[in-house]
Amino acid sequence: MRLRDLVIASCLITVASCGGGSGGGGSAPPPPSGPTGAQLQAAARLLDTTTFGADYATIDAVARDGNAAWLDRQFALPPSTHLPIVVRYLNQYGFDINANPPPGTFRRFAWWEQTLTAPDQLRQRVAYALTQIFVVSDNVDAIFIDPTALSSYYDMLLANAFGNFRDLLRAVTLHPVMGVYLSHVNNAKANPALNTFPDENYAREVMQLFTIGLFELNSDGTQKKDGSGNPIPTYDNADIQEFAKIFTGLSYGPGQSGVAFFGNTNPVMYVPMQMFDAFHDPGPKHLLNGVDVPAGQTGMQDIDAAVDDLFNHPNTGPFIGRLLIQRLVTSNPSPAYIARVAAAFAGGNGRPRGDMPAVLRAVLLDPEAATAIHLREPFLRYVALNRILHATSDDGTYPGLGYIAQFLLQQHVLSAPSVFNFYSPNFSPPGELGAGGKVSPEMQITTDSTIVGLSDLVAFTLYGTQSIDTPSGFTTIRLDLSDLEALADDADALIDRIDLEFTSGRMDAATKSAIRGAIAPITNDAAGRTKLALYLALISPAYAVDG
Amino acid sequence: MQTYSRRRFLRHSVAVGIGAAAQMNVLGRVAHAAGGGDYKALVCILLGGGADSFNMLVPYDASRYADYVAFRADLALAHADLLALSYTGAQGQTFAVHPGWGPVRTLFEQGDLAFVANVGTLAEPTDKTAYTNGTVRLPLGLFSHADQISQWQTSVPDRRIATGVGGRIADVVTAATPSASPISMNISVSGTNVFQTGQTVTDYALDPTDGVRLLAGYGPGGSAAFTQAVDAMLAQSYGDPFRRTYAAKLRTAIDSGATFKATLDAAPTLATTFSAAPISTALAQIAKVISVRDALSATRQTFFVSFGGWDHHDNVLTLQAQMLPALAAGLSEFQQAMVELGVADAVTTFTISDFGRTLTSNGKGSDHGWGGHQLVMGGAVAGKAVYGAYPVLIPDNALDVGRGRYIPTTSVDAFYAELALWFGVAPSELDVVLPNVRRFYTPESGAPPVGFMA
Repeated sequence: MRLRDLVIASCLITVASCGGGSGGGGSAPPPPSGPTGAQLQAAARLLDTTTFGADYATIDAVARDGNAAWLDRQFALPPSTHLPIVVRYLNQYGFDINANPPPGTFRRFAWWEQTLTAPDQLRQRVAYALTQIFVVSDNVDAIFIDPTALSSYYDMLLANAFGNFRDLLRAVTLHPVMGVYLSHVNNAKANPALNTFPDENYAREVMQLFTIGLFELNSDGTQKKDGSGNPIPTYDNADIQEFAKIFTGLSYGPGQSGVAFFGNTNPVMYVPMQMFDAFHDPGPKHLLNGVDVPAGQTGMQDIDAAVDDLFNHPNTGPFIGRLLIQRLVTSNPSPAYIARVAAAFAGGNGRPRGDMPAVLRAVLLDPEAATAIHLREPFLRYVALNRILHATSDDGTYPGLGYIAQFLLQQHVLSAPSVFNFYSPNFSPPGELGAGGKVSPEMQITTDSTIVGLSDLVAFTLYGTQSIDTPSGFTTIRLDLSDLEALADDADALIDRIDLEFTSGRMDAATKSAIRGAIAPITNDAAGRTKLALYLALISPAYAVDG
Repeated sequence: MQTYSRRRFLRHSVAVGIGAAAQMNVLGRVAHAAGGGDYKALVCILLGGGADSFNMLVPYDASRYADYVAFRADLALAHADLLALSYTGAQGQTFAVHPGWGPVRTLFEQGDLAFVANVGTLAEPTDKTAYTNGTVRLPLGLFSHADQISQWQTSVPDRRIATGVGGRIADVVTAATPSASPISMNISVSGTNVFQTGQTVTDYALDPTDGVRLLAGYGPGGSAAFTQAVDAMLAQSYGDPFRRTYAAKLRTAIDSGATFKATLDAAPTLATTFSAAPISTALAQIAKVISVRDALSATRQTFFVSFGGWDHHDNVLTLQAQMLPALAAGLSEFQQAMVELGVADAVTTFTISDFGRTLTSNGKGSDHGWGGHQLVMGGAVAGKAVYGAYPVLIPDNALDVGRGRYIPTTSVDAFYAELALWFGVAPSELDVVLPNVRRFYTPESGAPPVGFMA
């Protein structure tokens, strides 16, 4: 790290010698009948929340077509899946668990490839948001070593992102990665002779984290109170033990061998888990809100009953609605905003309850989204840098590991430390925000160490000659700054373009002025001016906070 | 089959990619002053996920071990594998530790380590009748990770509050004696945490591997133009609290980082060597900070390190056999480093965890429980003893609220009161540090709350 510091520091000082070499021509004149600045900014704003980052050409195209048309097209695009990319790598490199990098990392290659190139950006972005609600992680070895595991899980989220929440919840419940992560795979009914009981893990978290939360909610997400003014728990431990009985009898489905049996300890990670009724609790179960499951149903009938019970719970709309708003738009939505999203979840206007496109439109197009504010996820800042600055490789693959980013940021997709994600949706930082009653989940991983780590990551990525996350022996990933360098002679044009692409045209004047001052001494070096302007812009508070 | 673990790969790739410099020997060696004056530190190790502590401290005498085996069924450890402790409790009760805890047994036998049995979150003293009848206040979100892991840090289980015990201790200590140190007295090697968050004091987060990070290109040796621009961006008055908070955070990180790094770079090289496991790396970083306590003008410090992955619904025997030796090695190495630095009596280390786990098995592991056992280590600990009341491991006993989830018999408040009083918090200030403490302990009594620091 210190060596890198030195290299970068010397680049910053002797800017002329470290530039990328591509020279800067004059800025091109604007097209005669292009979109207005306001149209560009509106398009940039929408793209900021619905993609992993959009360059000027994309912003310009959307501004010409209009935001509504763009959203309609995005909802209509089929998913760009990740598992086929993993299979491609496995066919090419084989499955040698002792290789470096090990095959477990191929799922990261696939994620970077699709995230940086796939046209269905909204679907990919929503699936990413769902990974922070239905949390699983490669911090479990069984999930890490098998690259089909998390790519299949992500594909499941992609497939259901624009479907119905009930199907999504069912698919999450039956996915073997979730079965491993929350241990309901090979979960057997009670055995009195052995004094064993059903595993309570999934039963608890599917309620606490994936559907209804701990306390009864009004439709605007505020807590209901009992006669003494206390919140009302949604369930108790007896309820958990009832749901634990529901989630008994599942094991891995058939893989290539075609064989499946309860107690199979060789994970098959890419097909849904299968029910084995002999290991399913046959007795009656009492679910929430007075729903009773009779004795003797099949295990899958029981699971469907439990999924329905939670899907239809009045908490689920406001609970999930708030989480989606926080991931996509703003940290502190008003109760009215949550109520509007919960109403969309409840159905109507010809749409069924749980219709995800209706819910997502309510989240993204709410009037309050215009005044939204939240800290950007550190990891998404790194992703946007790569996307907007055209990370490219010779063969179109993106074998990025993300481990160094993860080391510096404490964040990488599908690699949370626990089912409680990287941060709590209710994290309220000490100081002004906490005192003002505001939450800022992303502030929980913004520490003395990571805040500088993120800034350093930006420097490494801009001033290095290739992505620092490309493992040796794989195709090199480079940024392409040429369109910015073409503007570099004109400081205002350069900074305005960076502003549009990264901050939707909302960068404050003082930040722009600071950047202008810093690049002024650098002359005849388009790359040097561009990189320094980017470095400052991308570590600025103006960009760190979206809103 | 799993010959290549994620942890191993992660370590490898990080070391190759970026960490090499962090392992460089520091050239500037400064003979450290012999721990002069008044210094004390608390080191909190969070075993995140809820460690199955009934397999860490295990009944050993024949009849109680038989109860344990009957209750735990397929989760029971073999008697022959257990490491017996030379301590006898009430009614001839004897104990052993997990087979992977050899160094912990050694520390215990040396008198440097003690256990507190069946300690947990309580809103007020609770018995099974009151629990069953609903006539007692209970911890919010009992048995759930998010609430219990937080309440073990706040010690206020009947409310959701933002400050933790270490933070409030720091508030009290720094109000009494304003710190001359440029660095917070609360230092975390595991990021922001509730335990160290106070009203006025918050944690300084140190990377466990890199230590202090410096902003590339900033300051002396960097670029003047860049430095000036960063200063200008951070100096402006932003119109929203998010940017104000972020700018202040980055400003502090840059400034205190520069000071802290210079100090740490001059730290003496310890003769004590630490293992490569993450918990040892983190504890080595803490030892390094303690070694420069005088240069930092620090007289009181708290440290926080998180060691996660203990939520063993599945595979508890295998995973504990992997993880407990790493914890034991880290503890042993850290204690050795404290001896080397001459502060063994001034530094007290303790574990906390979300909850204990069910005595009964789910066929693969154990589920969320309530009371569990914790350890305390240090020269000031009245070691070689088990404090509190180790439960009788019989189903449906007077503490069992189902499947062997035990109502704690020692409260988290009493546990922290013991540590806070040792740290120098006055009895009259305990109400600030532990708002519920009087439900369990009378600060004016003069008696020790639990006894392990007596």
